[in-house]
Amino acid sequence: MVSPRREDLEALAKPGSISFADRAVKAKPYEWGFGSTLRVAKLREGLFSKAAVIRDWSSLGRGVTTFRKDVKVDMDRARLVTKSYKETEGQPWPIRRGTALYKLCDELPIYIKPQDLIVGNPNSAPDEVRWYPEADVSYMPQAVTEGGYQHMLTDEEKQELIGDIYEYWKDKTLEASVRKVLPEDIKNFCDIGPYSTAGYANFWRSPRGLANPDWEGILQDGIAARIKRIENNYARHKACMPETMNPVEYIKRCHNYEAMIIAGKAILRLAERYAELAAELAKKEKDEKRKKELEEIAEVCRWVPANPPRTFREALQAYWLIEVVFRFLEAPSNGSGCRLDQIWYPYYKKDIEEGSICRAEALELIECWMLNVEETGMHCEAPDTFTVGAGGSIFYTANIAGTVDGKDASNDLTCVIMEALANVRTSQPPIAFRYSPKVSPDVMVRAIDLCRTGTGHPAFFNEDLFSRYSLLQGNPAEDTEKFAVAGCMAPTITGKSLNAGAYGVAGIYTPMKSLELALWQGVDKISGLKVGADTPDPRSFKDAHDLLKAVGIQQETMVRRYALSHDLGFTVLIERFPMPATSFLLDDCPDMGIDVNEMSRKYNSWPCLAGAEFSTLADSLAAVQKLIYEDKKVSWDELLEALEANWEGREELRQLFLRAPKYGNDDDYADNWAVFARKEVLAATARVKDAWGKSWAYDGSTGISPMALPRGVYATPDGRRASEPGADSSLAPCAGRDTKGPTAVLNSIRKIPFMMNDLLNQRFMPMFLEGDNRELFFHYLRQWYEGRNSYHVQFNVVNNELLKEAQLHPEKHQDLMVRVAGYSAYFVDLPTEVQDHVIARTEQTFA
Amino acid sequence: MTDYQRKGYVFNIQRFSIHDGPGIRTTVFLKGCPLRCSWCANPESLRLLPEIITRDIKCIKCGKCIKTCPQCAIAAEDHVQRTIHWEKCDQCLQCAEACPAGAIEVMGKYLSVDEVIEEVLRDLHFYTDNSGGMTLSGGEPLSQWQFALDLLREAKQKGLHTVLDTSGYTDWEILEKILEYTDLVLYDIKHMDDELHQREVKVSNRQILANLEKAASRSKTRIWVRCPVIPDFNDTDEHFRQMASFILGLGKAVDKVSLLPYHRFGELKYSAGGKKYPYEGKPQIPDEKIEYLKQLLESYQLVVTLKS
Repeated sequence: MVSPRREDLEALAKPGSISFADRAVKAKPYEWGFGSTLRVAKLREGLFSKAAVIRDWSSLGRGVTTFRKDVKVDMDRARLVTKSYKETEGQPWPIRRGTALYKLCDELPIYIKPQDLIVGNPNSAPDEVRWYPEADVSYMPQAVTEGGYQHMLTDEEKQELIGDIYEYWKDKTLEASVRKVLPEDIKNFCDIGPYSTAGYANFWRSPRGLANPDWEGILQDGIAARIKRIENNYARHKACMPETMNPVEYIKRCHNYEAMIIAGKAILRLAERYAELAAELAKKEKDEKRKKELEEIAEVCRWVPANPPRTFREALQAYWLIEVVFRFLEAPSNGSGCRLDQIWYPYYKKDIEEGSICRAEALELIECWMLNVEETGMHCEAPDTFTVGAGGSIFYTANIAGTVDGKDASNDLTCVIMEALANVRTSQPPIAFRYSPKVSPDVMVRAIDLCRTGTGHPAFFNEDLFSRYSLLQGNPAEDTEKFAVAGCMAPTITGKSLNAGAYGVAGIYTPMKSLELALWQGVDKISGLKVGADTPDPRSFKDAHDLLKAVGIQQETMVRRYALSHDLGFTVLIERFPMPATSFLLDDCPDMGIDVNEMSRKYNSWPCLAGAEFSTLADSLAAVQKLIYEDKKVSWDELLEALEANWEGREELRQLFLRAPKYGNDDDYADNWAVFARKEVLAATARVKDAWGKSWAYDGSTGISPMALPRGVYATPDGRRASEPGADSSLAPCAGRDTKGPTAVLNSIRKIPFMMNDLLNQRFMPMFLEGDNRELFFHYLRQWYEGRNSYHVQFNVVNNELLKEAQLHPEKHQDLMVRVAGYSAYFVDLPTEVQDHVIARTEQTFA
Repeated sequence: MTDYQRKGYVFNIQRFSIHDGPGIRTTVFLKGCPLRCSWCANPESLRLLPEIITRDIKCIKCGKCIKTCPQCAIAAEDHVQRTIHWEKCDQCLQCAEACPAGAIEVMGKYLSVDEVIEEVLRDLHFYTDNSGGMTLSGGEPLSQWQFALDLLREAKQKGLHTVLDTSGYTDWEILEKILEYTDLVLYDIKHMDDELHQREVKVSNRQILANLEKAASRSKTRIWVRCPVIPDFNDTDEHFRQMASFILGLGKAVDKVSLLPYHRFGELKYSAGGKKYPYEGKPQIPDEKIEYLKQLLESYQLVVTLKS
């Protein structure tokens, strides 16, 4: 097969041509596979999928977490970090962290793949996944000997890992340092396991950041100039110490400045090494065409990111090299949140206008870049932090479309990015489409076509709600304009440290558990232990509102435990886990000499709980009110007895509860209970404050926690049996219980009080996104937006037949992707239970 | 006007319908039909009064229906799935009431105009800029024409776009009244040959075609002609050519012709309602054939769409 000529490509990729829609419908977009050129198709074919795979879901955190079988553990990063930390014993933490990063950029093996046009990867080989011994090693010996990583290392490597690396780190990791100071009474609540699986808080095992630097500024200045700027800041800081400044603070800032400068130099060093490698490969290359390409790579990396990019390609390459360093080499971060179609556009526009690049070439470059993002993949970490992101990868969410200064910000690059993702169909980078009615309909149609591919991309975000939420959280008005979505769906502010330090989501807990505790006066029915508060016997309740009050009390009691571990964990983290490269790139940290972790906690982040699921609670309350108090058909004795028996032998009674009004059908009776439930749970959660004075909040970014956590929750009055999942997201009705179609679902949602990061999953039959029906889908989206309280909606556009077929023959469907919750994953990487849940979600059909 | 509210039998209110007229719509399915098309996909729509339909997969084998049935028409042996002896069933509906699991369900609710309109209006915001609205379908909605008339009048009063999906088998005086409040008619032509029409539909096509001509002569009425394409019945060149000439004769009132290829989605509903599927074993029409017939109509300069 011959690769098409440049002109043909140009015609294929022309804006407004119908071919994009036609390709979206096909299982493979091009006859040669995934990617607009043969080069991309070949790179895509050789790509290693490195999503986190959970094989044994039944025991949750202690289950087997692994990667696909051809993936290996990257020992080089661990080795180098260990070496560096040994060398810097006794030095201040920021310096140690900065020095370790420099060592990685200087010595970590790097590679350039045959035919690739974009370089940069934080793993030292295409088939390897990095890990971070400095954060946590506690899980490793088990994982590599009998657990999910045992096939991923050689025997010698295992020996080295356990004997050398683990031995050095076991009492020095962040995790070990936090654990040392945890008081006995909350220890059991930090992990999945001892008391239950309904919640946990141990974010320090994987201190993710969601930094979203001001790329426009960074690219315009170049890294070299930025280092200068920080050197100047440091000089000013040292020139005169303000009388009001605490000497400890003064010294800390000195260390932070120094570390940031080292981190900046580390970025330059990595780019330099890629330039050297490319030049060396070029020398050896026989093929003239490839030789030239390699020379170009060398030239690009010699110029950027040190200097401001001169071309679109340089902008893309500069962006990615910096990302590799601060986001993936420094810490186990994920996120992005960058508005790619804004930050790259000036360079793209200039190149197109000058004719130095054509649209098809830009498309190919972006496709190459996307494959690099996909290949970055997930890293190794403790199994329980994996669990909520089963099948997930780095949540490298790219923001596109939306508005700037109140005007449509979408442009041709917006479409190129969507086309590129529709062509390569990888899970990364997921696209956050910033929906606003101002976005051009042509671009919207492209977004719908991308949806039609069935990859779960893009997710739609209600742009207007960004500012509403940001203001609610007390951010200054000028910052709210810089709002962006990072991670699967977390809010960040461009250039600021909001959520940029270690993970904003500090604990995971399902309110479903509070319902269980309220039904049993504080007793956890799974473990039999009394863990909650003393609330009254349900038999004494006057109505379902009394039950809800008890739920609120239980909720507050539980959140307090997570809050305490969060405060202690974060205090240790601020001291021992600074992130100088991330700090280097933000606006506020370099000016003040404060590290991002401290900055984000003190100034503008708030502690969030993930695991929001209110639908089971709402349906339970509605059923209790209707059957016990209004119809008086059932007594509390009967209900409690049936719940105690996990509904066994009580099928008739269970059917009564199952057929009571359910949230999601535009039925005010049930929907009102969803409103009450959410208000009470959020208020109870907000009554708890963190050590920095911020109220706890629920965050809709759930991962698969709504499916995972209920495994540790006993039977509930909505007819659910013990361990069965509830709804798949914070706004969604329970799976299969919304029977009146997607308009009724949206109407129900309209009634629910606004909460940030609210997530709605919907499934549609593919035909609904084809041809003229796209216009109706467009209209449907508009109404979703007009509802004004749903932040995020995402679609699965895959038939059940195909999903069931993929369960039977996973080997044939390695590329089949679905939207899980806030992220897309390869269907075959998901635990069977999550696969079943995706299938069980109501498929929105139409007559 | 008095407070008197007409009521009627409705067997489904389908929100988010996108194939029953323009835009996002709510389709109200009225019960009862004077026709007996052999291929009918909605057997539960034929009878005017409510009837039961079984959903075996939901049955929890509690035996309540067996104890309840006054006719002793339901039986089960040793906790296996209950069977209904339909010949004994007199549709008293008591079993459905007794069933805790929804495994026997009543098709057909007796609803007032207000109750129906209230549900239709719930999706009002989905109708606005893409001309969606309410569609009356069935059964044959005009078998409850007074109820249909009140529904359409009320919907028009609320500013909704209204669509009537009809076989046209009714008195012209009735249809004329109805059209006053109808923006668009989805009008079926099943066969141009009366003999064949009577064979498979069990009624004559004369009144149907005459009504269509009269409807088309009204200045305000828009029409989409709908043609079910049924194997071994009307999938012939001859019928399609005759039909094309006839439609051309109707003039400007007809916006387009929709081909609705025969499908068997309704088959399971027959046994679930104790009925026999007359078209058992009929093969579906190949896509190429449908495409051919579409092109045949298009050769008469008609606008033709598939399935909607």
